[in-house]
Amino acid sequence: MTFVNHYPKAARLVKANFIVAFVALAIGGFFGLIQALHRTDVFRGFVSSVEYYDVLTGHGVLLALVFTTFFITGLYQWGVTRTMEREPENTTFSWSWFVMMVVGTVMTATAILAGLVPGSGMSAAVLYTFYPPLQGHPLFYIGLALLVVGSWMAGGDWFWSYRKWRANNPDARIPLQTYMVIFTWLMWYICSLGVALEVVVLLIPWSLGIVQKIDPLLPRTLFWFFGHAVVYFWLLPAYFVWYSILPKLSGGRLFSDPLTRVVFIFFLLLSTPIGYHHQYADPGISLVYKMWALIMTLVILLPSLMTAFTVISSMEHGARQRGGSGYFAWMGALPWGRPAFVGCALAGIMFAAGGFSGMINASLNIDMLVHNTAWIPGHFHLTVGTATALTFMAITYWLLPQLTGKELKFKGLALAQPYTWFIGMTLMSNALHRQGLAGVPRRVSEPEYAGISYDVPFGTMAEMNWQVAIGGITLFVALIFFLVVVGGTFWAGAPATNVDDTIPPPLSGPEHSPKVLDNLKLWVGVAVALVLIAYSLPLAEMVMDGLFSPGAFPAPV
Amino acid sequence: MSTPESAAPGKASGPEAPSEGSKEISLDEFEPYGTLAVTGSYFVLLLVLYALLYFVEFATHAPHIID
Repeated sequence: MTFVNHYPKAARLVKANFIVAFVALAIGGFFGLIQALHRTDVFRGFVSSVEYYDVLTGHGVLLALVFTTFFITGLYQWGVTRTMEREPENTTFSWSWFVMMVVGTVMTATAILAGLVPGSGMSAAVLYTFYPPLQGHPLFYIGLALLVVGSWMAGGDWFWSYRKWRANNPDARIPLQTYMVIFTWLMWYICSLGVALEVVVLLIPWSLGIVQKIDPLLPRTLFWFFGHAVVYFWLLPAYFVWYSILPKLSGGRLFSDPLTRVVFIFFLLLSTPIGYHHQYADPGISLVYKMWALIMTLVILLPSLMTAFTVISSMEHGARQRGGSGYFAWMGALPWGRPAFVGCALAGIMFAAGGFSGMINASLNIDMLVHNTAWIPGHFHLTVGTATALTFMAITYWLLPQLTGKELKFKGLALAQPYTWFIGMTLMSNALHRQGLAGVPRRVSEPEYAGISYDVPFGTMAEMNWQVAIGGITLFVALIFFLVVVGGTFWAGAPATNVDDTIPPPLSGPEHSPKVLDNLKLWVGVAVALVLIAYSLPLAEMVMDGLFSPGAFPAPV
Repeated sequence: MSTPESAAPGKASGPEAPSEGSKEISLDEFEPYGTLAVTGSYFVLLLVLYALLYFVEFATHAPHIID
């Protein structure tokens, strides 16, 4: 008996979310392969250098917004159901948010893919960072709005379950997995308000032609209001896995439940007020606010370093229970032959590397060295592209038997997949970082310019290009491995007899922490206050310039 | 205090015996000095790489007021 037997309605919902996520992952991943080969001039036969931007938009939106959101809603539905011990409160409502998200995704994907169809008259090559002056078809924006609203409803569904649970358990501490879900979604409600305002109030009327002009700075600022916090929207579910499941996969127990709660509070408070660090190069925003964002960004390193301590110590606990010893040798006692563990652990190692390049991005002065260069995609392929994506893929191997009642198929392939991904990303990301230091711009389809040679700090341009191309191919192979394992399990997995679905309690439980950590109103209040300090004056100034008038400095030329 | 997390069906009802391990280590017995070694090494690596980026890449390539 496992999750699918205890909660069949929730299991169906989780599986449906995962299927949409994996379809988006397959398409978006293929687009990534095209980009890696095109940019490096290894092979430019898939698309033209103009269509490259449709592919780039598809890669960014389908992976960073669609794959992530659907996987997260599926994962969190699983977590809420099992810890609240409740099926969804109203099945119709649950499926309505799922359908709304699917309809939104189909609309957005149609607008993007139509750009690759000659004569379609439709295009949305606005990149993942979809602010003006690039303009997409209205379908693109309306679809995104539906996706976000659907995710809000999903959160409402879980709060509904939480309230029912709370009525029956007035004095109990919030179970840890539900606690992590609640704090992620409180953060998501706050930050996604920015992108909702940008899309609904500014971009949709502009793309429909209702208004002709638009102030470029306001929508850009609203995008980044959401645009950095969304990083934590991707990351916190990976933390959810690392905190609540990885210790068990390591053979141990979570080191500290209270520390986990503190970390999630930090992210609720600090995720949104730091968006300006994506706008260090933007005129029109006071240096004071950029400095404020710099300080807050360095403070938000703290919960990630606390996570490093808690997760590594939990893994060490597992390793020592398995007989490991020494300062470093204990790592050899970890289960490096279990795909779910390996994927999460390698994702964590990649995240540590991404932490370094993130510190460079966050630094107001050094950022100028790498701003808008290939360093940036090098960085976020370590974070969302590996810390999040590889964790999601790895934990799927552990979740699928619980959701389907079937044994995982092709276990050897499942074990090879995270190692293959790790090798591919090591090749691609190190080369992208170094290209960034050489000044190679990000985003562009042909980063070669007549009369300009890049000042390469280490290695050569040809070597780096080949690393990007071979890395991209290797990553795509790893993606195929993943899809074969998942598809094989869904359609041909043998009935599971003994599903591994237990999670032991933490070494230090919630009884070791003050109840104020569970005070949702208090932490939301502080989070909103910090957002108001960071954003109220600059946004008011931009709005007073006129919502649509390009009179606000700077105006598009 | 037991939370629903550790009591619901399909979940552990208590500390899970390490399936492939040889012993169970309690909170009081656990000394995470391996974690100290790993996180300490990472911290040193961060400092070295940050210094490399600042002094070698940034300070030698960025525009200077003096220039």
